[in-house]
Order: sequence, then structure tokens, then C-alpha cells
Amino acid sequence: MKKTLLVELYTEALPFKQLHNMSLSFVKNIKNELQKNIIKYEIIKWYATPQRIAIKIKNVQLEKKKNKEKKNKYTFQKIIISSIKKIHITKPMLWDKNSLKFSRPVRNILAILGKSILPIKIFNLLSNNITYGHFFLKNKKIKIKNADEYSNILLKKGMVIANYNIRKEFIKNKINQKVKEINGFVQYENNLLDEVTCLTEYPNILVGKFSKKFLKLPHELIFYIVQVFQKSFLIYNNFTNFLTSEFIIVSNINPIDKKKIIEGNKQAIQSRLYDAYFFFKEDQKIKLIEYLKLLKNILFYKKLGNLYDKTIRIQKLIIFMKKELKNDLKNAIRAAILSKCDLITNLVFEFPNMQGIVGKYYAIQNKEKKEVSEAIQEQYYPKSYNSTLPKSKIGCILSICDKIDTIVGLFILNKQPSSNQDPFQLKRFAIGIVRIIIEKKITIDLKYLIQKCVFLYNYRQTNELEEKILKFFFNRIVYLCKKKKININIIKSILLLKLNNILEIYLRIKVLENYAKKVEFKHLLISYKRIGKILKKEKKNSNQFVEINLFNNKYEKNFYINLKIFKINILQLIKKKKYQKAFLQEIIFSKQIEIFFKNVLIKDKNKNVFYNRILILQKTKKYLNYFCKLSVFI
Amino acid sequence: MSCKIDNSFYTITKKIKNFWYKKGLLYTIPIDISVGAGTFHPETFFKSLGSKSFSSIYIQPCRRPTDGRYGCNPNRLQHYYQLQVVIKPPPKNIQKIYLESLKIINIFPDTSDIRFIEDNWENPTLGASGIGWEVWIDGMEMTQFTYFQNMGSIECNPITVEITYGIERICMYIQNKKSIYDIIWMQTKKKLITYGQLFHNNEIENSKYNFINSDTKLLFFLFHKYINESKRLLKLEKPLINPAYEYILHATHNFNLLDSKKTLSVTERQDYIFQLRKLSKLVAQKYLQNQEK
Repeated sequence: MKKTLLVELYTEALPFKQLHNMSLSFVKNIKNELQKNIIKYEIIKWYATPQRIAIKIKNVQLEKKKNKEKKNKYTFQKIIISSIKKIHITKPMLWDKNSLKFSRPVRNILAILGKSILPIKIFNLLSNNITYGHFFLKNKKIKIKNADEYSNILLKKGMVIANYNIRKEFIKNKINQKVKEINGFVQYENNLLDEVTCLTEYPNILVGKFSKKFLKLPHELIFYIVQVFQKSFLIYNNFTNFLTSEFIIVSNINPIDKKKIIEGNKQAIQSRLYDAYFFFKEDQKIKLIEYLKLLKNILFYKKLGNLYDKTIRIQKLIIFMKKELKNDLKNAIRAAILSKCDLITNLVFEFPNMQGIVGKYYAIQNKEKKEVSEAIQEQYYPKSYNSTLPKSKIGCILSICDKIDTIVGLFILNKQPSSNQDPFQLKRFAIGIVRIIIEKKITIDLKYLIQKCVFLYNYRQTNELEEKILKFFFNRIVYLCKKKKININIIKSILLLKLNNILEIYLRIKVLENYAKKVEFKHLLISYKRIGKILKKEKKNSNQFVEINLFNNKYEKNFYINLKIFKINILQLIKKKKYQKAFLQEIIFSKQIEIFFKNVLIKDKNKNVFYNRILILQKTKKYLNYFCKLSVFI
Repeated sequence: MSCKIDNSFYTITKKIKNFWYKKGLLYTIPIDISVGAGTFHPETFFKSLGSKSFSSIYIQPCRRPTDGRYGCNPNRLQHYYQLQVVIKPPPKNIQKIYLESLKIINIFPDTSDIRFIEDNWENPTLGASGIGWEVWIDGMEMTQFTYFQNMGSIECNPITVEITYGIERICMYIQNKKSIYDIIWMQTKKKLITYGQLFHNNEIENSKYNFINSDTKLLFFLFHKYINESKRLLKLEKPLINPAYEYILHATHNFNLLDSKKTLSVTERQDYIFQLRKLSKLVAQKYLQNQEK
């Protein structure tokens, strides 16, 4: 026997950023559960509107015998409840003290199997065969007699397009149709189309227009106000590709009198644009560079000076890094001096997200060089863990200098983040630095850089502080490598060397990752282990130098010569930054160790001969650890 | 009698208040200290802690120094009014009741595009956070609708629902005005008073004070004095919780004034917020300890 199963959670408006993912998570859970219970079905359909998420499983195979009906019911109850509980929610909430947490308050549960209600109890609610129409237009009970008719009835009686993808296409088509009429186009590369799909049950497209003078504002800001704040689409001109002052509103109702909706949206957008425009004009009464002295009025952080002091420190750090910058140095210094100036402008004060962008615009207006204005914007990149890095060299170095200055300053004041709290976002800054260094291949001795920062703060240098900051950075490297699924032992084996060059650390990690699964690497480890075992028993050793005249066979002699060559080679290759080749030396040399062990018995009646060999092994062990601490793998 | 429908500020607020009053909410008086939002009212802060049910409605004058625009911007003010509704525990059909309250003032969901846009409200100085929405009417934010999850950094259970009407925006919408200053505050046969007549000059003067003329040294001094006084009151053998809380409010307003003068960088600002949050948490804890006794 086959029946269709339908489940709908009717809720208060779900968050538009999560609706899509929540629905997919629900479907995935259901699929898993069905598979676990070995239940066959034809297809799963899912539905999502601001007020509901639902799934429909077409033609689930039921057990045939009549007395099995109870068992059927029980299985499906279990499946549904477990699937709901496992829905992935970023910010669960409580609304009723006796209930489970969920994304938003759940107000009704519809569950029917074929034509009858499947009783389910969750969120303090008992399921029924009822749903509700459009929350604002037809918020009445709608009885669902049969699971198959769900989406049709919702559309007919409830004015709800329940199918997410159909609604999304509907909106897109309507928008395209509309903008075609006015010779324009919209860009869909951001999330806005998904957002408005998540915000509407019965979408309708309208066109509004703001005053043309606002087009003088930075377009990033217009984008931020119209698309991010106001969830309306900007329209570009078909012929010129320029931004126009028209915009698309996606409303959730379609009344006869549309003027009010258009006027309301226009007013909302205009008032923000008006605010921005007022400040934009105000700000430009003086040049960006003239804001520099005003930075003295903003405290960066108590005991760490004001933002002017910070600017000077950044400038000095830039000079400190001149080797990396080469010909860009002059522009980099200019960018550093201007870097914080926009923080005192009205526009950034009102729209903090626009820091850097506003600086860039004003710099361009002031005819600063392109390299300079770009870097002002890029100093804040990456904005989150995995977002875009600065493109320009100056942007990269400026970003590093700004961030390291903040990190060191707050560490001096003992304001370092704890495991679960990072109020100043120092972890994010450090990850940003590490990512720039790794991905843009920048060679910096982190320890020197930290020392320079500490010095610029006029702080009495302490090794303890340096160690703390270095360790903090090492932990970020671990975090990043773990995200790339690199084995923790590989990371550890390099970090234990306490190198100060992050790029070098990373490149060595990559080399090891490459070798980790190879047989040759295993052989190397076996040899290393064997050496370790022998040395563990024989700690005592008074001889400082290997004595060549104590060798009593050619294998021993050969090995010693090879050992010396190996040492020179590996050190030189590391120095030349040829890490792949450097480690290959170890792999090659491990064969020599095998030959040595095969032909030379370490134990000898003559104690001097014996200790001489121990000494050789000690040196071998030491040199083998030049590339990484092999003991981590044992 | 005039047959024109009276949609003055006075009448609209009266209608909303009456609507909720009839639902049995306690009609309360605003707090007489400068606050940034209705949530700071002790009636909301303290009562949303602990397990006892409560419900209130009040109009709270609010001050947000950074929002001052010298009386130039049509819908930005550094001093305005919020109509605050708080209910614990929240009724199951609370959103429908809210829509009913809009109908009372002639906003209908089939002719006005009403949206619940995700906006998880947070007040870092109070250690308060909630899950909820901005309610947009034809694209303009007019209400904040929140289920508190934390208050004074303490997890709420049961939950309090907070509905905050932005009355000026609502009046602009209903009266069809393009500027806040044109809103009709009261209207009788003989008299017509606008919002601008009452508050425009105040906006200009206070904007100048907030952005230019405030004495930064004095504000820093006061901030620390208020913080210390609050701490002192909490350290007493029998802590004076209400006065201590009121000093946090004074400190918070001073912090806001410093903020609008742009004296704090992002980093430094974080530290001031942290100090205030720590104190709010302490007050909340002491309040709950007292309740248990």
C-alpha cells in the first residue's frame, strides 16, 4: 500500500537568512531516517515560506497487513519527530518554557498520512490537518483533506505560493519582465533574490524611484542602503550599464492601490540616502589628509594612545617592512598616513561598514594615487575568516601592519582573547594576517615584527609577551590547517621547531602533507624510531666528538660521511627555501640509515667504539629533526 | 464636533494604549532618567528576570545622542518616544493581537505591506539579547518585536515578549507626512500643534550639544563617577539595587554622549560597553538573589 505523507511546521516569520538551509536540513534528516528504517518512497518535495516549512513524501510504501497500521504510525511519528529535532538552526530560541527550542515559535503542526491525521506531539502542540493562508491576506484555517492537494489548496484558498523554487523563479521572471519595460537590468549575484523569496508568500513586483542626486554617493553605499538594508533591487541601464535611480520592490501583497507601498518604500530609502548624502557633502568640505590631526581626538584604546598615534605606528611598521614593498614603499607610506582618516568622517560614523570604502572615495576625489586609494579600502580585508584578501601588495602589508599593531597593543594590556571570548576580534585579525602571508606568499619574520611593535609602544620588552603572541599565532595556524583537514601531527611537528616565518611553517607543512601517506615516509619513521629506542637506553655519553679512528668497518665510515653531507644539504636547501627538496634529503638518507643498521651492530665490547656509534646516532637524530620534529609521529 | 477623523499623535497613542489596557496590561509611567530605549525601564529590565508573570505598557521618551541631525533630517531624532508593550509569558497569538492593534489605528494588513524582517535585537550594555523582528510597514521600520532570551546576561525563562512601537514613524505614516516635524501632535477645533513646534528647537540645540559643545572631560569624569557609585551601592551589606541600576543608566547616557562626540575608537568603545555590561549583570544577579529571599 502506498500513501503520501505531509508535514508542515507553521511558525512565526522565519529568518530569511536561514529558511532555505533549514528546509534542506529537514529534507536531509527525513531522507536519512527513511533510509534507516528501510522505507521506500517515490519522491520528496519541500516547501518553504516565511511562515512555514513543509515536506511531502510521495507514495511511501506501507506495510500491507491491516494490523500493522499501528506500527506504520509509530515509525512515521518517530521519523518526523527526530527529523524536526535535528533541523540545523543557527540561533535557536525559547518562547514557551515547556517547549523545545526552535528557530522561531512554532504555532501549528500539520501531519497527514494519506487522508488521515498522523498524531504527533512536539513543541507542546498536537498535530492536525489544518494549515493557514497568507499571514496578512488570508490568515484563516484551511483544512487539508489529502496530502497531495497541499500546494494547490494553499494557492487557491490561501494566496500562498508554497514552493520555494517556483516562487523564486516567479519573482525573477516578473522582475526581468518589469525591468525590460524600462530598458534596465538587475544583477542577481548576491543573495537578495533568495532573501525576498524567503520574505514573501505571495510576491508582487513594483518599481520606485529615488532622487537622481543620490547617485553621486559611493555606489557601495547605495548598494548597502537599497539592497542590504531595504531588500530592494537596484536597476542598471541596459545601454550604459550605469546605475539608475530606479529600484524594484518585492512586496508581499498586491493591493489595488499600489501608490502607498511605492511611496512608503521610496521614503524609507530616500531618508537613508538623504542622511548619507548630507554627510557626504559635509565631509568633503576638507581634504582627507586634514582629518589626520583630528584623529588625535579619538582614543584608540586607553594607554595605547589615540588613532593618530596608531597611524604613526603603522607608518613606522610599513617602513620596517620595506624589503617586502620595494618600489611601492612611497605609496604605502602615503596609504598608511591616510588609512584611518575616514574614521572621523560623518559618513563612516553613520555607516561603520563603509570604513575604508569612504576613505577610498575621498582619496580619489582628492586625486591621491590609485595604489593609495585601493590600499585604504583593502586594509580591512579579509573582513571575516574566509572572505576576500587584499589584492594589492600595499593593501596586504597595510592590513598586516594595522592588525598586528592592534593585537600587540591589547596583548601588552593583557586583553588577549580567552577560549570563548574575543571581544576585540583579535583571533579574526590574526587569522587574517596568517591567510595573507600564506596565500600571498609574504616573507616576514613574525618575531621581529612583534618586537618592532612592542618597541613602538615603548613597552619594556619581555620574552614572555613575545612567546604569548607567537603561541597565539601558532594556534591560528593550527586552526587554519585543521580546516584544510591537515593532520594535526604534521602541524605539530613543524610548530615544535618554533620557526618565526609563517610562510615557511606553512610550506613545510604542505611538504609533509604530501609525504605523509607515502611508504618512504613510513620507512623513515621506522629508522627514526629505532634510533630513538637505542638512544633511550644509552643516555650516558661523555665523548663530544666523533672519532674517526674508532670506526672499524667501511659501513660505519661511509655512513658518517653521508651523514655530514646530509646535514650540509638539508641546511642549505632549507636556507634556499627549497623545502620539498630538503625533505627529500631525509627520505633519501633514511636508506643510508637502513644500510647502517643492517651492517653495523651498535653494541661493541669496546666501550669507546660503542659510544662513538651512539654519538653518531645522536647526531643523526638531531639532523633528522631539522625539517620537522619526527618524534611527533611516533 | 469636528467630523474629521482625529489622527493626532495624542489620539493614536491613546488608541494603542487603550487597546492594550483593555487586554489587562498594567499602565505604567516612564522612567525619569535619560535612556536610549524603553527596554531600560526598570519595569522591563527587572521584571523580565525571574519567574513571575507580568505585563506593562508605557510611553518612554528616549535619547540617542548620535541620531541627532540638527533638526534637518525628516525622520531622525536624538529624542523621541517609544510605546512599549511587555508581556510575560507571551500569549500564543501575540502577533495576531499586534496586527489587531494596528487595525485600531487604521493600518490594515491587506492594504499595507506589513513584514516581519529578522532582526535579533541586542543591547550589549544591558547584557540583553532577544530574537525577533523589525516590523516594516510599506518598507519603513515601525515596530520592534522581540522575544527576550537574555537580560543582565542571565538567561530568561519564562520568556518576555517586547513590542516597541516607533510612534513618530507610525504617525508620519498615518497622517501622510514627509517629515516628523509636520506630525500633528494635537488637534482640536481651536488648536493645532505640530511636533515641530514642540521639539524642533530642542533637536537643534541638543544636536549641537551632543556633537560639538559637550564637555568631553566632564563626560569622562561623570561616567566614571556614576560607575563607581553604582559599584559602591552594590557592595553595601544590603545592596541598594534600584539606585545602583539607576546609576548604570546615568553612566550609559554619558557613554552615549561620549560616543556621539566620536571620542572612542571601536576598540576603546568595546571596553566601556564591557564595563556597563558587567555591572548590569551584577545588578541582575543581586536582584534575583533578593527575590529568592
